[in-house]
Amino acid sequence: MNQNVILETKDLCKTYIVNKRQNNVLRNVSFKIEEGEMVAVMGPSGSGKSTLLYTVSGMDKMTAGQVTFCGKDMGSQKDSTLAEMRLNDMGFIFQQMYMMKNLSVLDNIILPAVKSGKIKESRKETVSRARELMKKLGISEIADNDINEVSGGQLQRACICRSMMNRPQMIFADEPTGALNRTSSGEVMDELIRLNEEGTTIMLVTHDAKVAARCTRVLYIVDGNIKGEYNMNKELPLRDRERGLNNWLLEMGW
Amino acid sequence: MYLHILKRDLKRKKTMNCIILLFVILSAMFLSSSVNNILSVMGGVDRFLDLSGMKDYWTLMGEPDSGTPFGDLLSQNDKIKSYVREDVLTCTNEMIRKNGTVLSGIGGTAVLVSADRMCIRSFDEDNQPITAVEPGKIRLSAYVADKNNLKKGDRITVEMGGETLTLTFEGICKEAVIGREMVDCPRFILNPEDYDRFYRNDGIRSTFRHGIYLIETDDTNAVNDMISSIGGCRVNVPRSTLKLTYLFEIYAAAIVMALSIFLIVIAFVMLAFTIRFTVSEEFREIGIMKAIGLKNRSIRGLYLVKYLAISVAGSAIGFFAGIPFGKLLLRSVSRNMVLENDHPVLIGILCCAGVVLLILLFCWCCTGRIKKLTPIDAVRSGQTGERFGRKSLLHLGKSRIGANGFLAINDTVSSPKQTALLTIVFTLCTLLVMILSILGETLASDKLMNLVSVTKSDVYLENNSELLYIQNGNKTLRQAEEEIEQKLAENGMPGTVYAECCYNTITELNGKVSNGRFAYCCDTGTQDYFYNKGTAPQNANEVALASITAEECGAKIGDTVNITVCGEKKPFIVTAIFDSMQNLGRCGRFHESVGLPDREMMFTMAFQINFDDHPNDAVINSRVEKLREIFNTEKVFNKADYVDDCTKMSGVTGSAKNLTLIVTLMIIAMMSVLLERSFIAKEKSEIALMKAMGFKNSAVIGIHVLRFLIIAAVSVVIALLLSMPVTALIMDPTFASLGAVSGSDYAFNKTEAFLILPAVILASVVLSVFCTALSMKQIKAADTANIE
Repeated sequence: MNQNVILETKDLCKTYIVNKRQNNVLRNVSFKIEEGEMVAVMGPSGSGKSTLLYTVSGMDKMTAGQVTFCGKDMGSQKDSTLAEMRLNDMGFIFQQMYMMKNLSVLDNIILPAVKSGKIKESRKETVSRARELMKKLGISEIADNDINEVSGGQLQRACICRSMMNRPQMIFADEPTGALNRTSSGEVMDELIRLNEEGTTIMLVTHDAKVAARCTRVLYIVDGNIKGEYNMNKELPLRDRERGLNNWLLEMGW
Repeated sequence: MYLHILKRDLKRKKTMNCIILLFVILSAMFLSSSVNNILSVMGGVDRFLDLSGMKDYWTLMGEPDSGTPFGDLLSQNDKIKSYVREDVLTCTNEMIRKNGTVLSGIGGTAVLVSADRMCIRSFDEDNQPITAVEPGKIRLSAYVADKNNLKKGDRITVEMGGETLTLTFEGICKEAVIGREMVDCPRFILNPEDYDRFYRNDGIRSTFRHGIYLIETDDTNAVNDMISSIGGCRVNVPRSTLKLTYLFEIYAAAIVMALSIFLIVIAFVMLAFTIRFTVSEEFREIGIMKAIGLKNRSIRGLYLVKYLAISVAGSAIGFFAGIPFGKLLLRSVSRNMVLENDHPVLIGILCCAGVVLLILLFCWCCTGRIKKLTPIDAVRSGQTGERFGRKSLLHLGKSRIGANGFLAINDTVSSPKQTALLTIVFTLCTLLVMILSILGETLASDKLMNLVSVTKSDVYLENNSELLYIQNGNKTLRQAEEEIEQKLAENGMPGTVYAECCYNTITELNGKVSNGRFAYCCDTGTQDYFYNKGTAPQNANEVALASITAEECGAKIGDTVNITVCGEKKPFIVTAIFDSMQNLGRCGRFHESVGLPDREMMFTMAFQINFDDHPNDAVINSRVEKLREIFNTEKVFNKADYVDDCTKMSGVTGSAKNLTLIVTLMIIAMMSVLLERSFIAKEKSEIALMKAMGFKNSAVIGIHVLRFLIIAAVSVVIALLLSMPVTALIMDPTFASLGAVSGSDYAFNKTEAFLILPAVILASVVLSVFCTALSMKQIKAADTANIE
């Protein structure tokens, strides 16, 4: 595993003010993610998992603290620079399979690449690259379909393709299997693991210990604080990893 | 509970509700003010004529002290029921000056009358009858006051037959009979003492004394016959013709009315769209309401109560705003008329109630969709899972356009209903302004030259004092023309001068009669004029008739009509029919060899000047200015200005165009804001997703602006293509009523039509959408996961 730190947070705080009431969702969160890692964030509902994901990825503003992504201080970047970073260096997968309604599946996948222009290629080459990705993920047959003509699992895999189009340094996934059945969930996780094995760093939020067990590390967050960290022993069989993680989660109060 | 939900709704969708309220206010304001104005103007012409004392016919007769007064002849004629006579003095524009400058706007004869001898009732600015004018003061027709920017206290000098009187302008006078610009016979009301200063002078009385006769009769032809038999008539107008002179006021009001109807239609289309949109976007709330057991009727009632509240509030504000707005519009329609209708408040209230009812009707129709929504919609976020219709018509992979441009175009073509609605509204807005632009341009050009029945010349000079000399027999027309030619030569711009002579005529065929004014010109050939049918008259016994004259006496080409002119009835063969707006379409043309006496002519159209050196337009315009100084008159025109002076319509069109442009831009801006707001609300999740993917704020705003820009640009192109045929469709009937039965040739200002108007409209769209789209900055990328 490469030892370069790709994402680092120091005393990260996020506070929402709702009806003049202060809600401290993240409280002095500090952690590091190294290149090539696949880190799962777990915790009870309302603990701040998704907020952590959106704040470290620059999708939401932090209230205090520091986030460094690829050596850049995210807090000091302009909105437009953050947008460029999301477009070129990050990929996103959401629990719901959000896509542009007026575009076909293929067009949704190539949209970030067309918008970015990061990879110098013709439109035809972009399309063929997208088709290859879709083929890898087993959804090549839905390329020209409308988004309302395909299943949730297929759509989530299309979202993974989209997140991969600009060859990002890191993928952020917010409960990517949350809206899927067990079979689809397994397929999507297989793809994410394959991506990680190819070198893409992944940070994902999940409630599912089975999903987390396939990651390299698990961060457990409670009331906006990281309560514990669990390093997965990859040499153990999956079932053992899962059992070990469950025991740890019980210790954490899961 | 109901009130609570309503209150929450009004508060939560503040912007949308405010925009709907604004549309309701505008609809109510325009509807109430326009209906009131139209009723005032349409019925108002007859009411105003009656108020002024107009009967079936009026005529201005020259009546020197000697000879049989016209009144005696009227008394002897059993077809005349009654008449009243007003004693007046007439003068030309050169006799009335302000600070030494001749008053402009007096083309024909100015009429001086004593305040205590008026038979035609006149009214002041506040529509109060004028019964007296203070010594040393003067009141005059509104259009002359306007043309000369007269303000109370201005000094006006009247010089007649050696007597000079300087009077102070006291205010305008309105009356329906002679004070019309098209009649060209403005009225000046003096104090009796001042009036008698002129009247007691025998020389003045014998030259300038006239009688205005207001005649009650069932047979206007009998009056025509009498007038033709005795001569000396300066102006004669039947009531029906006089009513036609109000066509421009009605025309202006019709523009305002058309604009109002258009606005009402737009407002209601927008309301319908908004209500439909609100209902379709609230599937979740509606679904939950259904899930907890509320019936369709109750849910529908909720929307009806909401729109009732908005429409009642909007209509009430619109009603009050409509009162001053209506008065403002009416003032712009005519300053010359006493216009009122009997029940303005009641009509206003009825119109506003109509707006409320229409909105509720729309709401009722649009909320019919509630029945189709089920509680499951709340769970499935409105997706039925059964829709497999293809939405993406274009393919990014096959396109060469960038991502932003593609998304804007794709959104436009993927939402045909939404695009069609916007295109229709933008096209209508643009078309309305284009039509008025074309109309204004046409009226300000020489395109209507054929319709005023004169040939094209470099310059047109109206000189009434020359006319008086000719009518009095002091000189011939040719002598007057030679004098002008001599002056031109002396001032280094030699040219030839000629004039059209107009004579009062009665055309008769098989008992059908048409009164008119026929023209002939010794210095042009009849073939120099435009005819719609037939060929130009070749001999002295041949004539060309205007379409309306031919229609009135049932004459066709080849018929022989009897024409009474200069007191003599002669047969003429009709060889051609042509369109003319001259004398409201009741005219004709004799062959140049007809040989009518100069003395008997009613008037000359204008002295037409053709310079020997054939100058360009710029030189002509500079010479026009020079000639105004030489002849000390404002009545010197180039071709286009002469047509405008004859039609007197470009002013009306100009103000209507400006009003329309302002209102249209307002509508376009409001509609763009409303729709953009609704799109942002509808596409919040997609906007957040785009931001999450890495689209910058500027890109997302750009896509939204571009969408509107594409639709607006397409609308402008459609409007441009439709503008000419639609203008012809709408305006040909108006021109037909003025004599141009076969329609008119319309002018087109390329800079205005292709550049200025599209730029203004597109800028209005872009600016309003851009300002609204700025609110998208508030939507965060992280909202992707939070949006329902």
